Amino acid sequence: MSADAPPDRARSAELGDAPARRRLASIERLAQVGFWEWTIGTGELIWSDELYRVFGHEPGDVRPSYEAWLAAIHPDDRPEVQALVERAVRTHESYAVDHRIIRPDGAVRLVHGRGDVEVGPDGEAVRLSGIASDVTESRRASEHLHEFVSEVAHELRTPLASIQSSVDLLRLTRQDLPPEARDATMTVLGRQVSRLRSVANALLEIDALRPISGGISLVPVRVEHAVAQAISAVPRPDLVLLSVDVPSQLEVKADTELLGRALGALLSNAYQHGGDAIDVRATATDFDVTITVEDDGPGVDPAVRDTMFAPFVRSHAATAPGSGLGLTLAHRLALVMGGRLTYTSRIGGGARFSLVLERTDDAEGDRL
Amino acid sequence: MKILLVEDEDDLRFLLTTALEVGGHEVIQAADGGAALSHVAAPDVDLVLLDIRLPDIDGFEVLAGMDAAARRRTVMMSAHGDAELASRAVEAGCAAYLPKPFRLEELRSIIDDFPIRQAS
Repeated sequence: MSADAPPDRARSAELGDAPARRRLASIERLAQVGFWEWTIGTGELIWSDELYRVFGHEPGDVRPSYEAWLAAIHPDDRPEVQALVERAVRTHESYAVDHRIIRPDGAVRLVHGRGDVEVGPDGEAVRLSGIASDVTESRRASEHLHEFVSEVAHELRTPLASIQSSVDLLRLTRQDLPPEARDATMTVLGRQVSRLRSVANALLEIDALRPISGGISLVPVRVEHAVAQAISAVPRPDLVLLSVDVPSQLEVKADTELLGRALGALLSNAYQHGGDAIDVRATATDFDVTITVEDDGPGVDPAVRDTMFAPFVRSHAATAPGSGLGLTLAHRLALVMGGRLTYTSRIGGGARFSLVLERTDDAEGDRL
Repeated sequence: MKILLVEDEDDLRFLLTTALEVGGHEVIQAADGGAALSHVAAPDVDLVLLDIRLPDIDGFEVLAGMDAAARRRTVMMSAHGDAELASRAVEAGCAAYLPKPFRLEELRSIIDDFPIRQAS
């Protein structure tokens, strides 16, 4: 089942003339979908450039083979995928499967694969062709979203439970309830209705909850542009002094829209809870870029530091407006982009949020 | 009936305690899992109302600290309204699962069906 043709020829063979191939390559790159085709009789296997990238290779750097493909599949998923392909050849049924792969650098990714069988005049399978796309980020994003929705539901049901019990208590115990218990129940009712109202308001005010248009696409994003856009998108209170220090060459692997939302949430948080001097800066190592948003406010209440990225957590002392969702979203968006968000207290007071993302520009440029 | 109520939400704990006391029951209150564990072994508790999400350990960990007989006297409650949690609660050996919000009549009918423990 291995291909005997040299990789370059194998890749370009039968994929059409040069302009058609170029167009196809663009479509593949933009859609982040790789294509493969296996001619069963000759064992010839063609991988498109994007298929190499999905599997963590540079186009043409390995010889396409069924064995190489199988070896890249996570050992726990391999038997199932192998069985599906063998069944497709036998029964001529197409298949679709999500499975993990292990890239040459050791990274485990989730891939969505589909395969289709071409049957010859004699009724035998002639060719198997398919696509593969990396769905790691979108799967991670939907898992985060699912968790988030479940947290929101919990946050709605909790005050509802007290409201339901209050109403039932007042209804069921007309004469039996002592006046002070009755008054206390009415107070609970009012308090829990306000709580419900603030959850509803929190959901409405969170810009970052807007549905994501299209898919998530992690591409090199210029940090300077992303920061400038976030600053112009979030209304700044009059008295706040904002200083920005972002080296212009820095680029990170991110989704433009998600990075904008994450930075916007950090800025809103600093505007609402920080003092009147806010610093936004970016620093880099060879591999990562750290974007920090610092303020000179009171810092995060030590009582909530461990849970500050969980939904609806607010400082007990907080009197400023805020939903308790902004940091949650910034944190989750960082994870979705393969990065992280951390908090440190600033010496002398204040909060420092650091968003760390993979660097994509050439670090060598720094040293020139 | 003597009821151990494990609920970290102050308002709901107050309301349920009031409702149960008006109904003639004796209520022991616990606001977290640690407090709950110190009471579950009490020989005269007829029923445990156990919230799943607690500030220290969760309701399932409290349940794990109980013997099988005590688990059969436990009703779990949660605002995480998924079916998976309900079946997990029943599989863990507790008597019933009450999704929040619930009506006091639902709680009352569960309690009415519950056998009062025979003094051993």
